[in-house]
Amino acid sequence: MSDVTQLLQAIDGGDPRASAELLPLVYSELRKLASQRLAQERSGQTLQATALVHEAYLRLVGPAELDQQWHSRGHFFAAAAEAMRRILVESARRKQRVRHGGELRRVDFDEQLQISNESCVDLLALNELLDRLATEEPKVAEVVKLRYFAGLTIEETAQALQLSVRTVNRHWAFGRAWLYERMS
Amino acid sequence: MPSDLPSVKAIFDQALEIENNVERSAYLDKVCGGVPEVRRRVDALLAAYANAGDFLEEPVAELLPTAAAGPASNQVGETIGPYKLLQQIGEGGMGTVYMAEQTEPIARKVALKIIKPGMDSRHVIARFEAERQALALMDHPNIAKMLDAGTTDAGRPYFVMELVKGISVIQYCDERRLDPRERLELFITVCQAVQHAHQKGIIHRDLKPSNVLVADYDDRPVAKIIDFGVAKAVGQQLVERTLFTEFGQVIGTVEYMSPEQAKLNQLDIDTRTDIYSLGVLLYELLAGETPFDKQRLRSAAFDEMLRIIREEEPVAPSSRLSTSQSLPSIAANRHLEPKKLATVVRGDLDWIVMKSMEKDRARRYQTATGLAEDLHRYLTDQPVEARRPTRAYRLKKFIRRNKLGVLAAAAVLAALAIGLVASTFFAATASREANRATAALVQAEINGKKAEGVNNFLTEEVFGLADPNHNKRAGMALVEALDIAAGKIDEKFPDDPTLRAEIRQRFGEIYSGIDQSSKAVEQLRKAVDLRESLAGHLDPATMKCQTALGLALFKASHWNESQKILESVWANQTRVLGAGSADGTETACYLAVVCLELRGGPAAWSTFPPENDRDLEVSRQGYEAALARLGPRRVETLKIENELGWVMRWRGQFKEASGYAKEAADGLRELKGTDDPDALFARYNYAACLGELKSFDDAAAEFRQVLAARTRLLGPTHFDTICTAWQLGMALRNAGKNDDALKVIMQVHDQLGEIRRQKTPLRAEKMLGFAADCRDLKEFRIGGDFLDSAEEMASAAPDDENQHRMYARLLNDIAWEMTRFPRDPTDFVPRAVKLATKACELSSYKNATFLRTLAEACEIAGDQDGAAHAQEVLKGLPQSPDAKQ
Repeated sequence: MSDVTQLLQAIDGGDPRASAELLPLVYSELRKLASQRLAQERSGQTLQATALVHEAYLRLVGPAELDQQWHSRGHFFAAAAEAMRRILVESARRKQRVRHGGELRRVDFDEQLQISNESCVDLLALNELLDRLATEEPKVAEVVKLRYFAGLTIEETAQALQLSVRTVNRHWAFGRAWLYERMS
Repeated sequence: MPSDLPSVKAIFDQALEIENNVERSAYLDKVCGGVPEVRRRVDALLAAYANAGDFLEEPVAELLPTAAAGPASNQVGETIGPYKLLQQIGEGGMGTVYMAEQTEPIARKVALKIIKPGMDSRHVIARFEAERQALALMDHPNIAKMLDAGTTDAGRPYFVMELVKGISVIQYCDERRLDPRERLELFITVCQAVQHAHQKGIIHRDLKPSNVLVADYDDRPVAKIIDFGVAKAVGQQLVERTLFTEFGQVIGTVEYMSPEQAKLNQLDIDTRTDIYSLGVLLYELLAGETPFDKQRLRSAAFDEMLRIIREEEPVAPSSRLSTSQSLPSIAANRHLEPKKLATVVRGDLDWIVMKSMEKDRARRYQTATGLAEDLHRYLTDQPVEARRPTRAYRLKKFIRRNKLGVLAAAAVLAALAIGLVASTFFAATASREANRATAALVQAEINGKKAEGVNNFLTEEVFGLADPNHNKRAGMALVEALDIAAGKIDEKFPDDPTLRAEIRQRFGEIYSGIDQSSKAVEQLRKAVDLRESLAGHLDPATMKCQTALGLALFKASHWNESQKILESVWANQTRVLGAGSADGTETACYLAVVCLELRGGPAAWSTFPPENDRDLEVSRQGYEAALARLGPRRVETLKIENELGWVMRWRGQFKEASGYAKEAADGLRELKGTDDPDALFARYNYAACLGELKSFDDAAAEFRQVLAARTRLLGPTHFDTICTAWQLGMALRNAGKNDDALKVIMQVHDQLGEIRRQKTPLRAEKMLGFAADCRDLKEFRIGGDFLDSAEEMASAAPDDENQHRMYARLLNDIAWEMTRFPRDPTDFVPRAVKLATKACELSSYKNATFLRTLAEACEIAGDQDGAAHAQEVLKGLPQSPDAKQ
């Protein structure tokens, strides 16, 4: 059994320190994976953030536990989604810093569309809003993070958070509406 | 707010369940009752929900794009920097031009061009700055002075130029009804101005009537070319992009674009591009129309339009005239009878125009002066050159045909110089012509034999030949010859330590070039020692030698020592030679590569902190210093610019990376030719950037070119060739061309027999990457072969202790990959166990990751005891296993 698996079980057992230990582990694994992937210089593709998250899971927890313990898997993905959010936001910040000499500026949707047809969301703005959403509706924010940063399906999200599919659907609808209203 | 009122969220949830609008509204009326604030919030959320489309539905895809731009237009009266906008005087594909007033430091009126949004201002300005000195050197009455460039508050680049009052050259000639002779005289002054710019190293890239303005001075027409430096700074991409509006309508000018510019990724622009545009301009001045019908070009699809420019031969101006329906008015504008006009143009002028517009630029006039002189010949009734078959062209061909012979001869001579009888090598590579050339060269060399001479020769000729980047076969044959010769250096030159140092250094560099890294290190260490004892460690030649040693160490995977040496040499070179010296820039190039490797490459498996920014610092500082001191059009500057692009690409800043890479690739090709290894390297980098930017088709096209060149120069099994092939395969796959991709992958696969003989960890790691990609593609059989090769290539442990950690990690990764492959057709699991065990042994069972791989492999193999044992050891390790490796 891996350390991460142990941590996941400890979280399940209600040990609050375990969560705190899990995040840096997952974070460093993701960063490492990302840099290795880039270093391998393969293909022209950009890194798929959610694919990284899933690969990190395989590496840290292993396939043996793949089909069981969905709720402890949920802890993992919660940590991974948070870690991925931090990595992405960091990189967005760094870029903004480089580009504007320290001055943060919102990025036009249209401008981003020229570069990438996907991922045309202003991450920094989304990040701030997500923090605000978390203070109002913490569960909704969790759902958004799992869906958007870890790429979980509605069903997986439901299992991970131990909620019903119906509830997740509601949270998801509310979260999207709430964020969309503020971002548009 | 009443305490029993449900939350906004609860009301929203409930409202969404009610599909009927009337009912929903009734529900909201009821539940929100007298609290309009809540009702407003819920309504806003429902509206947002209805409009959200697929907002956030796609998970975040990647590690980020972007560029930013400000609002779309500037206003007359607005102030930009020290300039006040007075009046808009023009608008084109690239931007808007204003007449503006400058008050500081002197009061004058200027033309200010604001570039359209859609690109990175920093980059535009950087490129402008790079060319600024050269632009400042241009001083010609027919060129409008470029005064300044900057960024508006909204983040858009702008250029400030001498204000030219005048109208386009075509409009002027037509309005004044200039006859052909007057037109040619005016045109010749334009050619002379372009020539002046070319001599200062500036290419216009966007010559067209609206950039050649004419006004009367003292009753004589005077032409002025504007916008020098703009197209280069803005970059071709924008030119391309601004050709089209979002409706696919062409708004820019394509009629004057040269065939080499009409390639989707033109890396290869030189002064002859301007000659082509001048040819088109001349065509229009004479025939009244551009060579390709404007309507036809504009209505053609983008690809088709480019194809026309690249491939179609235009009709000669005189034929165009005789078929033109507007002939009467065209002739009238030229003050001639229609019949007379066609006669004037037919013959010499046809020849001259068509020669300027040759598709193959080697057949155009090579200089603007050449064109002007031929026109002058026409005007003075001398025979024009355009009619004669070009002897220079044939001579050039002849030299190219014989180049290999010349090089082989040089190698033989060098071998003779150090007392080596190299008849076998000679027989293997040289031809009869080479024999003759050798005889002459040997004679010349014997007459003036000096240590310096030998050294120069070795550097320029043998090194060029032996480097497999230049010639594969000769490179192979030379290894053995070099080994023998290296053993004789002390014996041959007992009294001349300086010469010994030089020869050892060259040998080291040659070994390094043909991937004999440990031999290279050995020779270079000796050379450095010798030089240090002779001239001290701050002597420029010693430092250069140390740089070579640093590079060789890097190639031999001694990353840490390599970094240490290069850091100290770079610092010393900066101190002794000043910042941005050619030598220092070269050192910075290698240092940046080493730091990048240490941060993100295989070496990162060792000790370097991942957050380290040294790679970026070194490449940026190095580039800026080189730019300031050496200028933009120097091989050293371009090489470090490419490194900067490379570093940026690895950091995910693809847009900027691609700008640097493209410029470097462009410049290196211009200076060193298409097949130059550095130029290919930069082009590879650019192609990779295109892939990152998701221009997969363009990336594939570039990779294909690089692949063709590398296959030709290095052979199909050279590591660089294979990496390129793989990149091409992946780009094709990403472009959705799976069949083509598989074809390329299979070609690499076909070479595996040869490839797997190259038993080094780095190469094994590449094969591992290939295997993982095949797993992604679900091509398990092919992937299995790559995996198999990776294992075999990793079978020899490196001698060097420094590399053991990396080696263990490699074995672990191979093992890990093996556990991911299905057990049919090849069962890798038992081998995975073996490799993971070995990785654990090499790390004395202290690495948690390796232990985990081992446990997993054992478990899949059904070896419960083994798995339990590994877990047991794992538990005994100190905590936080993955945080530090």
